[in-house]
Amino acid sequence: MTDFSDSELVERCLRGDDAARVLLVRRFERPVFATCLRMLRHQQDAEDVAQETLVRMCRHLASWDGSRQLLPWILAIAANRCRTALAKRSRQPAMSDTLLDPISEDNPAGREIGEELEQALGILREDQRACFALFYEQQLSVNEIAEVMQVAEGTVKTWLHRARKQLADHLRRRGFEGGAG
Amino acid sequence: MNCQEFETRLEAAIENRDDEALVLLARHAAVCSSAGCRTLWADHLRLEQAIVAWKCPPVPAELSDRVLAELRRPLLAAGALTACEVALVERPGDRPINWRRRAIVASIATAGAMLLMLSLSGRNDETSLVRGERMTDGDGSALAGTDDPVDGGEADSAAREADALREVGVHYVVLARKTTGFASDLAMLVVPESEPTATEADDPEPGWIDSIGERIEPVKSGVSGKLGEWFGHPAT
Repeated sequence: MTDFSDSELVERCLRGDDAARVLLVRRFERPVFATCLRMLRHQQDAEDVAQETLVRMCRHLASWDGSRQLLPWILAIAANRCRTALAKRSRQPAMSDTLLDPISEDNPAGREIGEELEQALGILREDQRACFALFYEQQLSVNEIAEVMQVAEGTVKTWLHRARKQLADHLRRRGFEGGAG
Repeated sequence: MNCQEFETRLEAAIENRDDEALVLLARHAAVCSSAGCRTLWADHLRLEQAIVAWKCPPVPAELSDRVLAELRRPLLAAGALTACEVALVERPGDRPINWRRRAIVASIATAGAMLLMLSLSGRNDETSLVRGERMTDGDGSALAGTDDPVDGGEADSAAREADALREVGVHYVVLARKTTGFASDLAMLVVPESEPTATEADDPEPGWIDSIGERIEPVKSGVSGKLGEWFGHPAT
């Protein structure tokens, strides 16, 4: 059953196949959680929203348009839930104390470039960070990101360009060497 | 290609994941004399290197379990009654429930209980009769000999107590016979019902209930005989 396509899994889930539902949840828990963590930058909040997203996914599978990709549809649910969580967080200033450290001021010597990028993501705006993560981490296309974020494709391109530029500037300032440039 | 055009093409190649275009841009950056193009390309390579080293966050081990538990909770609640019914009907080794036979047994048990109640009421009547006899044996007073145990002489009182005990014994023999008859009737029906049989689906032989009396007659005779032996009363 592990090699079933997304459509076949959904079809089995809609027929009440519990094993298919388990497989569906396990197939998408990683991208959902990663997206939630990128957007919220808070481990516990990300776990809660990812759980809520996956439950909603299973309960509303019948509303998925089978002619489209499943992952963008699921991540759109995640993005919506994250925006709701962020709106709630904005009314609770104390929550900011437990956010992941956006950028540390200590010397990055010894820190790998991947860790530096993870830290640097904190300096981005939430929508730009989500766009960057969806593009590079989830490998979504610009069109699919526009669907997930519910914005125009041009907006996604602008966000992606700005995110890349800020991150590249940060890495250069931090002294990381470029590739074979 | 100037630096602005290089940047535009680079962004388009990235957005479209166009590897062929990126190869062409890499060739240009390697030979271009413009510092702008080289810097743009170096930034691109640095960021790509960071993205390759960028680790996905580990998924909490219990996340999927939590999700599945939340999904199953309402289903279990809604299906609890059905699950019990399935367990009752399909428990391995259990016989299917024969409601017709159970109804017959319940009817016979009810009839037996009614017979027992009638027997008890009969005992009260007989006790009254015994007491009435005792009253005529006394001095004729309406109240004498009924509630006052010291009415009359001691010998007379002892004789009356003996008579009363004997008559109560007779009553209990009659009652025991009726109860034994009922119990044996019930046993003949219930015991076969309780035996697990391989041919449960088979109906009992036709007219079985009509022959019940004949079947239990030997049991009744045996029990009555025993009771007669124990209490000195002839079996009827």
